[in-house]
Amino acid sequence: MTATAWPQPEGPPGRTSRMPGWAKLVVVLIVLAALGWVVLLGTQYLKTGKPISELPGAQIPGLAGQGEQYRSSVFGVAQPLGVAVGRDGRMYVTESAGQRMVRIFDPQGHPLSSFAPPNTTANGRVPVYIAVSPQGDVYVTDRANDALDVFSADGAFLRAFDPAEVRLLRLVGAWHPMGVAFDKDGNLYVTDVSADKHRVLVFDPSGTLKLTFGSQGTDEGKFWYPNGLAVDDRGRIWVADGNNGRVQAFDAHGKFLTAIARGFAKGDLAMPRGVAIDGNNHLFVADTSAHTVKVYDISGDRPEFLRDLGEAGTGDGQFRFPNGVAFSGGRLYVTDRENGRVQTWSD
Amino acid sequence: MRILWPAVPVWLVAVALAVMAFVVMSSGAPSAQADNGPHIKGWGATADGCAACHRAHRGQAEPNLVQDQASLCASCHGPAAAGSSLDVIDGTNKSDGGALRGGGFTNARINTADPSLPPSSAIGVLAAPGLPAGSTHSVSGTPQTIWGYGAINAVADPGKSSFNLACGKCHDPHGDGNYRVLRKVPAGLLSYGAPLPAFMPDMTGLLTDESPKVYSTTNYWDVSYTDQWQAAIQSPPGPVADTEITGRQVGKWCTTCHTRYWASTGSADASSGDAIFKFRHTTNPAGRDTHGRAGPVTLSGSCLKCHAAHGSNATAATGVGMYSGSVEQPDGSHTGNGSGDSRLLRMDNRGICQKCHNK
Repeated sequence: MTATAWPQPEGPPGRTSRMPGWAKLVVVLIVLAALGWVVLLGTQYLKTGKPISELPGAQIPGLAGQGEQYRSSVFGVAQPLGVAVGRDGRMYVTESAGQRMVRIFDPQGHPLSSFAPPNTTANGRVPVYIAVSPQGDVYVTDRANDALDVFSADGAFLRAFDPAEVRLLRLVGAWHPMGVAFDKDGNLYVTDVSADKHRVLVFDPSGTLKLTFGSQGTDEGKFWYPNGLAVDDRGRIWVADGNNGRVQAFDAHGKFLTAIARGFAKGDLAMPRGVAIDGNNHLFVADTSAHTVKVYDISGDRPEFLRDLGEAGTGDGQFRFPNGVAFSGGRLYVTDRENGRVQTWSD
Repeated sequence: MRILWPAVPVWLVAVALAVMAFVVMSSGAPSAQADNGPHIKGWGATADGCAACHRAHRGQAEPNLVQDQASLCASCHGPAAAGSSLDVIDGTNKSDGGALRGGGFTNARINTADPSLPPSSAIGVLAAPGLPAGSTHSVSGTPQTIWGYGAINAVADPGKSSFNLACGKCHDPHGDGNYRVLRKVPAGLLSYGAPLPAFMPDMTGLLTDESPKVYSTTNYWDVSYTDQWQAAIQSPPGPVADTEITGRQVGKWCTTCHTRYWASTGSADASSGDAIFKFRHTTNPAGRDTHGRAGPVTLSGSCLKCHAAHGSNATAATGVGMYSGSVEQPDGSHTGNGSGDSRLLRMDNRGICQKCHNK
């Protein structure tokens, strides 16, 4: 029996049917590079945290079973206190521990950068509350330096807020800014906790002091460590009166209107710190020692309690000393101080 | 006779008057607050302040607190000082920028490297922001040993172990009429209603000082002296009006925990009989100052002359041939020749000794 040769496959002229060794090497290298790229992306993805928008959320509703739900958290901030959102959706968060920076995150929760007042060290500054002006500048109160600093949207230091009236107040030791907010017209609202002078100062967009109201005390219209504040569409000024355990509302002239009181009943407050208002007349109050965010309907003359968001704890949708709140783009942002994160909630 | 007034522009007068009016309206003498700020006695029958810190049935930490004490207290007394001018973390009075005599739990502003020596020098303060605290009375809630707690014991007994120190162990946030809301007996040492053990100093009536006062760094414990250096750090330096609280009382209070550190004059030369705390520095001079010099009782010795209550930025030298950073604890333990623990002292290394003894 003679051997029969197997027929050879035909191919185009000039091409061999077998891949040369160098080509195989190239393919292997390409595959390896692709794998490496995927691994690298994955590593960076894990390092930077998952984008807020891609997380399904824990679907934790408010305790009343309605309204906002917990969505996600941004970690990597040391005992955060204040939070604000810029016009482009970037989130600014102040830290009261660690490096005590103001950290910037993109709308998906990726860290972008951080900033601090020039010529300061970590233990020489305490950024607390923060607000973004209609022009996009970022205003940050610094408790260590009794300063209200102004930064660009990217975190470049622009100036200290220091108009003539503020310089005079400084001279007499009566400038200790705490909370800060803007209204839609660009007026600047500042809570001041100078000794025996707890009050609210209102500056017009040019920086001229146009209104001062309140004094230290416990009566209606007085304050005991006022913290955050916010202005609603009707021009009413809502002030977290921290140590008095209440939120007080004032008209645009500083006249007392109403208050949400301290107590144990549903909707009562314990130690309110941050406040924010959405576009639907909802007032959000970070009740720091109650470990909840309380939601009120303020469309009428008197606020109506709607629901609690969250409860005490370390899990999803739980808080340990929430402090600052901001509302933007349908999202509620809450600094969760002792849990070292910023939570986002939305409908 | 006609008086010739200098020609002053009207606008200048107007500006000056406006500035004066502004200053008058903005400053004014601070009003005296009730002692101990919000931590006062007598909230009344319809008190609502309870809700700030307690939950009757849903407490998350003892006693029925909304959260652990250190976090809760830091909500007002933290770096943001969001509910008080006293920032115990950075050791700063946010109202006037002064330094707290107790130091701070994270940073403190004691001039621990002050090269001056007695008798004319007081320990000063550092400008803000101060320096990291190298040793603290940790209130983290982790079990610790109270060095020296207990009766004189011929058998080696370093103290009470597994004690979880927290702010509320020493301070009574409800207000008890005592200066700095200090408890007569630190919480957790005795069972409820138990009599004071013989070895524990009785503080009954010694700390009570309910007179209204304004909180400032010049109104802390009166451990000021006019004839020698001061352990008190205050800004600005100066005597304090409060003579009710004396250095000796402070010493007695500290030794309600560290009982075997309570030592009468002469204890450096006479054995106590204790296996560990045998010869001791005087803390109970009984009519004399710490160094046995005659003087009014109100100017007696104080633990605070040498130590800061909350935390000190003092450093202790480490490395081969260095002593301060490697001193053993009363139970003989140490972390080797590099612990660097400054034992809450107000001076670097053992400079606090030199402040008096100047060898």
